[in-house]
Amino acid sequence: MKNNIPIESKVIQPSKNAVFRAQGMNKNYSPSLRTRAILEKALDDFLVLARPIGIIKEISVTGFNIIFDGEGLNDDSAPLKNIYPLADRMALYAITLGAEISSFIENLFKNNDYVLGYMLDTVASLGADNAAGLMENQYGILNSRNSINTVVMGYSPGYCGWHISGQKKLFGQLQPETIGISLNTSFLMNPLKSVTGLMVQGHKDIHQFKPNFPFCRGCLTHSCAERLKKINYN
Amino acid sequence: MEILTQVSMALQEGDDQQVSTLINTLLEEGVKPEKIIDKGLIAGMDIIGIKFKAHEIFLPDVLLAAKAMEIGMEKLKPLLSLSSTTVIGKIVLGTVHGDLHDIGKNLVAIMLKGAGFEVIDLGKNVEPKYFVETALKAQADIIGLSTLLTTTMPVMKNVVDLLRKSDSSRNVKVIIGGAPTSKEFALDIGADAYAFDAVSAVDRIKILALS
Repeated sequence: MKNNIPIESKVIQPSKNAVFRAQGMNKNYSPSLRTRAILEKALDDFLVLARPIGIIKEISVTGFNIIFDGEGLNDDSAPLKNIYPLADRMALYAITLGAEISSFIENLFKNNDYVLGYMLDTVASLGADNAAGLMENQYGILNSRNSINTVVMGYSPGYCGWHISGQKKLFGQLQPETIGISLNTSFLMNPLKSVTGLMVQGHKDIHQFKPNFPFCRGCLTHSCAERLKKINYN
Repeated sequence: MEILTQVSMALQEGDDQQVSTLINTLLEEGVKPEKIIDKGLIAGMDIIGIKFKAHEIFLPDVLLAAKAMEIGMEKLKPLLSLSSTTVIGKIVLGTVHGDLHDIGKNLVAIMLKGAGFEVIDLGKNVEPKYFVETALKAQADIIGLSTLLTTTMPVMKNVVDLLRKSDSSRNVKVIIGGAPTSKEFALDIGADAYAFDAVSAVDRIKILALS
C-alpha cells in the first residue's frame, strides 16, 4: 500500500543553531548580527516557499532484494546488505520540498543576493533531512511493537556503499513522480531538495556497524555517526 | 583610523553601506580609485581569506564581505584608468553535464569576481563541448569544473580530453572541485589543479593564471 503524506513546513523548519552548525560554525562562535538577520529572513522564506510532501510504500525483504541490487554497483561491504534482511518491517520513502524553493534559491544567486541564497540553501537542505527524519519517526510510531529496543533508521542510495544508481529501481517501485520528483540520467533528483530511501524498522542491534569502511573516507557528512549515537552505538 | 583602513574594516564586517560611504569620502579627498581598491577593498578581502582558512570566520561572513567588495568595485570600476582595468585572468566556470548542483560553483564565481577575475559562468548541466568552445572563443585562461555527484565525475575527464585534442587550447588550464573530487582524481584525469573550497579555489586559480 502506498500513501502520500503531507508535512507541515513549520514542523521541519531547522533551528538556528542547526543551520549555523551545518555551516561549520562551532558552539563558541557568535555569528554577526548581519548573519543572524539573514538567517531570520531565510527561515521565514522557508515557511513560505517549502511545499513538503512525502510518499511511503511498505516493502518485503524479497521485494527489496532486487531494488538493493540495483545496477550491480553497490560496494561489497555496504552495511545495508546485512541490515535489511533482519528487519521487522520496511518501507520505501521519498520526500520533497517542491520546486518553488529551489527556483527561488537559484534566482537569488542570479540576482547576486548570494548571502541569502546560501543561507536558504542550507535551511532547505536541513529541512529536507528533517522531513526524512519525521517520516522515520512516524513510521516507527505507526508500527511500534512496544519494544524500547525497536528503532527505525533510514538508508539512502548514494550513501554508505549503496550506490546512487539504486535510485533507478527505487523510483520504479515507489514512483515518487506522483509527488513531483523526477530522476535524471545521473540519478539526480529534481527538485534538488528531495530525499529517498528505505526505512528499516527492527531491533537496534541490526543497525549497528562501525563507520570505517573504505567508502567512509570519501563521505563528507558522516551523519551515520550521529544516527548510531542516538541508538547508543559508536 | 585612516579611512582606507576603515574601508578594509567595513568590508570585513560586511557593511556594504559603510564601504560605499567611505569610498565616496576618499574620492572627494582625491584618493585614486586604484589605491582604494588595493589598500581598502583587496586588503580587507585578504584578511577575510586568512581568517576563513583559520576557521575564525565562516562562509556567510566571507559572502557578506564579497558583497561589500562588489558594491565597492561597482562604484570604482568606471573611474579606473584603462591600464588598471586589466583583469588577472579569464575563467570559464560551470557544473558539468548531468549535475544540477551549483551552489559551490556560484560561491567560487563570487569569490573570483571579488579577486579581480573575469568569470564566464555557464551555469549547470553544461555539455563538455560548450566548456571547450566557450573557453577557446573567449580566449580564457582557465576552465573550472564543478560536480557534486560521483556519477558525473567522468564528465570532467571528457572535458579535459576534449580540450587537449584542440591545438589552440594548449594554454588553457583546468581546475576541478566538488564534494566527490580530490587532488588524486584531478591528476588522474589530467586536470591541472583541484580546489577543496571556494577560498582555496581562488588561491589555486591565481597560481594557474600566473603560471
